[in-house]
This record gives sequence, structure tokens and C-alpha cells, in this order.
Amino acid sequence: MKLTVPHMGLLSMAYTKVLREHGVQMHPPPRPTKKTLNLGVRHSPEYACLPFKINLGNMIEALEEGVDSILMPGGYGPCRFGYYGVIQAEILKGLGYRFQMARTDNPDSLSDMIKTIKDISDIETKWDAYRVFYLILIRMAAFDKLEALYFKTKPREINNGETDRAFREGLKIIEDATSYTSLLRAWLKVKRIFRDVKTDKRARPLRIGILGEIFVVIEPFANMDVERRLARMGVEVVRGVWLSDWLNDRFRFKPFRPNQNKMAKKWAYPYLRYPSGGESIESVGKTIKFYKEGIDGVIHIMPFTCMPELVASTILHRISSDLNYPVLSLTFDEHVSEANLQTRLEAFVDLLERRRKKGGL
Amino acid sequence: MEGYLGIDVGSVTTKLVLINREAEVLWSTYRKTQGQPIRVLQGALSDLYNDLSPRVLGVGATGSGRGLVDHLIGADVVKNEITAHAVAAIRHYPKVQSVIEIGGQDSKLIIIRDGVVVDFSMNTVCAAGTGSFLEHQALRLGLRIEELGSIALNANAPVRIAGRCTVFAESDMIHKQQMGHNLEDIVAGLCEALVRNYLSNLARGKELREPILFQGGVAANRGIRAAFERELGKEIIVPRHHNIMGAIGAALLALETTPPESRFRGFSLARHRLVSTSFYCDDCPNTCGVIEVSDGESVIARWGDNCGKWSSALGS
Repeated sequence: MKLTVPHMGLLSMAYTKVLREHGVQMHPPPRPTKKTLNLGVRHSPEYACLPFKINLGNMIEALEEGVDSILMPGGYGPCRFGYYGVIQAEILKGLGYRFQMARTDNPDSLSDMIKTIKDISDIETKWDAYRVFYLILIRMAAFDKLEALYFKTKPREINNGETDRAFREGLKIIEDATSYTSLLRAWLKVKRIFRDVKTDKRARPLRIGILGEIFVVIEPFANMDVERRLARMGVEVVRGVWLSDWLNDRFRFKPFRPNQNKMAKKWAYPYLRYPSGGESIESVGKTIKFYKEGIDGVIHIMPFTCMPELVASTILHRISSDLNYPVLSLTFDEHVSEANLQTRLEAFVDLLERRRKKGGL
Repeated sequence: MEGYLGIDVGSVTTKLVLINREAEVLWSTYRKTQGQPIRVLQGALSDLYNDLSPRVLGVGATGSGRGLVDHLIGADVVKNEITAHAVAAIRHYPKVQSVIEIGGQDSKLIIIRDGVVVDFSMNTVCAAGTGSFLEHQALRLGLRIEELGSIALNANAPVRIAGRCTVFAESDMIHKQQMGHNLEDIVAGLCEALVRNYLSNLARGKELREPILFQGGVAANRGIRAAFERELGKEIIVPRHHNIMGAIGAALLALETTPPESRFRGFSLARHRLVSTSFYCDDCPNTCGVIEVSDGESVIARWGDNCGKWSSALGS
């Protein structure tokens, strides 16, 4: 069995190496590129969202490389996403590919996850499966922390490119740490590497909060690398949605990190009282939180035709005018023009800069 | 003579201005880009040199071709069009609260309060109402673009044209012509449709407070201006330099930074034989289009690659 899982940010780096050590023939698809997108667009329904199209393109690429099994999360899902695995399997069958598709029917269920891991690997006891699953979760958290470190360091760096080098090195170090003890050592090493990056300690860069649908937020290819574009303009990116938080809300592995979804519900209360699918409640709640924390502004990203985030974006408009707080909404699909995106990002950064000079907040 | 140069290379037109330290416009030009931004830029620079031979203290670049200007001529400030237009508007009308800007291929709305930009929007889906579309329609009706506005003002009963999409607007116009409506009413109807399209695409949920400035090439069209005034019930001000406001803004930004030494490469550039070519890099599946500008035998600028391996290969 040669198994693939479509990309979502750094997730595949968290499990690939670990599962390989337990007898799973993992074969991650290539990182999403224009080719992935073209393949996905050609074979998807037009009104499917960008994540669906990128997933599908990724699956085709992996199948072309000789993969025979696909694992796709699914189940009752936070939005249409719950059905994606089913529809994608039908499309791929129609294209003549032969493969097996495994779906996790209930992505919130720990026992489901453990069962899936036992099924695909040579792990025998339930205890071992738990150990491996939690190792993967903690690795994911380490990758997320690495990205956060990057966003904090990049706008303060003195020698251009040093942070990017540290980040690439960090990725490698964490990827190679496939046990609990080596992971701890790896993390201390990553911290040392970042401490060595020369930074301007007095710099007070603009801070922009990034919120929105989780796939387009964490997959740089889906959002045309919005976060790094901002970082290169000297902005400190404060991302509000993390895959490790999403996982922690379900599987509790970070003992000191409160449930983000529940917290967001509290913050969002005056504007939205119950989750309306996707990350909508977090987009609303965390915008208010960012405002209170003095973050200069918020960029809200979503895929075109995303219902839950469209609801959030309409509410954000209200919040923005009630609190006099800058919010920029960006919608992504295969038609987004790069020049247009760049212009809007630059204009938003200028707006925040001039506002700060006038003592805006 | 000395001053700050503002360059706005748009999709359809290229604008150059020279301002002095007091922000007065000393010289300006407005010409068609005609898909050859490099040649047009060279022409404009050599005209400026022949007219005034000024000493350039700083250069500001804006417009969709701002990167090109920076690579070729050397700019001290490279800013997006939204900021450039806002800066120019605020300088000339300190009380301004809204700026409508319609150019060759895109349109923008900038909301300003107390001299600071607080919100903006830019068309992302449809180009109805931009200069290119109007020019195309004028051509189809056998008119010059400059005539459209005054013809629209002579209308008695503007025809209602579907303006949601440029293609449908055109077919609806043809239909109305064939039904026998006169030219004035159709042109006026077109202006109204474009204004409705602009407002529903860009102004949704935004409050357009007066004073409202109307900038960009399309502001020359009095029919569109009148349609805005009717639709909003507010007065629309068209600044004297409406079509070069972006370039003025870029020049003002250069003036604001007052670089100790400008990166301007000099007017001699206008005499060089600059040729741009492009190729697709096949080293990864992103297949970035890389653009290369050479001066005679040597490559002087290169950009467009995501990973930076072609642009950085040149050194700096």
C-alpha cells in the first residue's frame, strides 16, 4: 500500500516521517503549485471552493506518481468539507484511476483516529497507537511554534534573509525528531538558532492579525503567500488560526492552552452567539480580541463561495465600523490577480502606518 | 531648475510630473502606454529633459508598472496607486472625505477621515466603467472618447442599460439602438449603468461623505460625473489635475522622504536601446514568467520569479 494525504500547510511534515518508521509507505504529494491548481480546476465543479480544487489536484498528482491509497479527513465536517472525500473519490474514479480511499468518518473522535493509525501501520497495541498519535500532534505544535517564531523575527531582522534561513533549518531539525526526547532537544536547538538571528530590539513593527478559513490561512499556496508578503513589507503577522489549536480543541494535548473555539465564542458574543460553521466564530471573536490587544488591523481571508466565512465577513464589516478598526477582507480562488492583491496589501499597510502616526488606536 | 519626479505607469496611460519643493506642478505629461511602457517612459523623459533639463531630487513611482519604473529608472519611493491618489487628494483638498478614482482598467474608492485613509476598495471582478470599456464603446458608436461626456449631457431620457457585466452591457446597448433610441439617450444610459455598477461593486456598505473628489482619466467624462451626482445626490469635484493625480501623489511621496541622494539613473537612459524580453522558467512546476530588460548586450534588470533565483543572479 502506497498512501498519500493531500497537503494542508505543514501538516504532512508532522506525520510522514513518524508513520514511515512504523511501516506505513507514506508518499506525500508534491507541494501545491500552479500545476496542482490547474489539474484541480479542470476536474472540479466550478463552484467548489479553492481548498477542494487544490486537494483534488494534489490527489491526481500523487496518483500519477503511483500511489494506490488516499486518506482524506471528512465526516460531518465544519462545512461542505465533510463531503469532499466522497465527491473527490467519485471524480477520480470517473477519470479512470484505481485506488482505495480511506476517510475518517468522525474527525473529532480520538478512538477513530487511533483505529485508523492501527489499520494502516504495523503498530500492534492500542497504547503504541496513542503514543504515535500524540507524538504527531506535538510535532505539529512544534511546526506551528516555528512559524510563529518566524513571523515575530522576520520584521525585526537586520540582515535580510537570515530569518528565512533559520526557518528552513528549523523545519529540517523538527522533521528529523521522531521521538519525544529528540523532539524536546530539537526544539531547544531551534530556539537557539533563532536567538542567533540578529534583530533590531527596538523595532515596533505594525502588527496585523490574520484570520479566516483554516485551509486558506495555513496553506501559503492557497493565499498567494499573504503572510510572507506582509512579513517582507516589515509587518509582524499575528496568525489567529493554527492547525495545532484546532487539534488541541479536539484531542487536548497542550494542557495550558484553553479551548480556542470556546474562548472565541465568549469574545464574539455581542455579535455572533453560536458557531455558524467553519471558523466563522473564531474570525468574529478573535477580531474583537485582536482589537483589545492593540493589534493594528485584521486581514480576513476566505475561499470564494465559502458560506461560513461569508457570514463572518459581513459581521466583521459591522465590527469594523462600530469599533473604528481596520479590517481587510480577501477572497481567494483561481482567478485572483497577483497585482491586484499586492496593491491592496500595500495600501492596507500604508493605511495602518499613517493611522498609527496620527495616533489612531 | 530642480524638482521631484512622479511617475505613474498605468495599464493604459503613462503619467509623468515634475513638482517643486512647494508641491507646485512644473511640468506634466499624459500619454498612452500602448503596451510599450519602456519606450513611452523614455520618450517622456527625453521630452522633460528637452523642455526643462531639471535636476531630479527624488523619484516616486506608482501604478501597475511601478516595479518596472523602479528597475529601469531607479525610484526612491515605490507606492501603490491607492496611497498615491490619496496623498495627492489630501494635499490639494485637505478636507476631502471620499475619492472616486477610475482609470484605464481598474477603479477604486478611497474613504478618508481627518486627512487619513480609513478604508478603500478596488474592483476585483468586473471592469465595467473603466476607461478601456468606455473607449471600446465610443469606438463602436463611431465617436471619439472625448465626445462621450458632452453627448451624454444632451440626453432627455437616459435609457436603462444592464450594467452588471461589460459584455451584457454591450449587447443591451446594441438592443436599445436597434429599438430606435437616440444616441444621446443611449450614451447617457451607459454612463448611468457604469455608475450603478461602480457603486454596487465598490461602495457597498461605505459612506461617501462630501467633499467627494473624482480622479483618474474617466473623470474627464462629464456624463459620468453628472451620473454620479444624480445617483448620490451630492456634489462631485473634479480636480484640475484629475488625470495625473497618481503621479502627483508619487512625486509628493518622494518629496516627503527627501532622499539625501536620489536613486534616479539620469536622463541619459532615454537614449539607450532598452529591450525587454521574457521567458518561462521550467525549473519547477510554478513556471514563473521572468522578465528581462537589457541595455545593448548587458541585462540590467530581471524580475517576476517567485524564488528570486533569476533576479538575484544579477546582483544589485
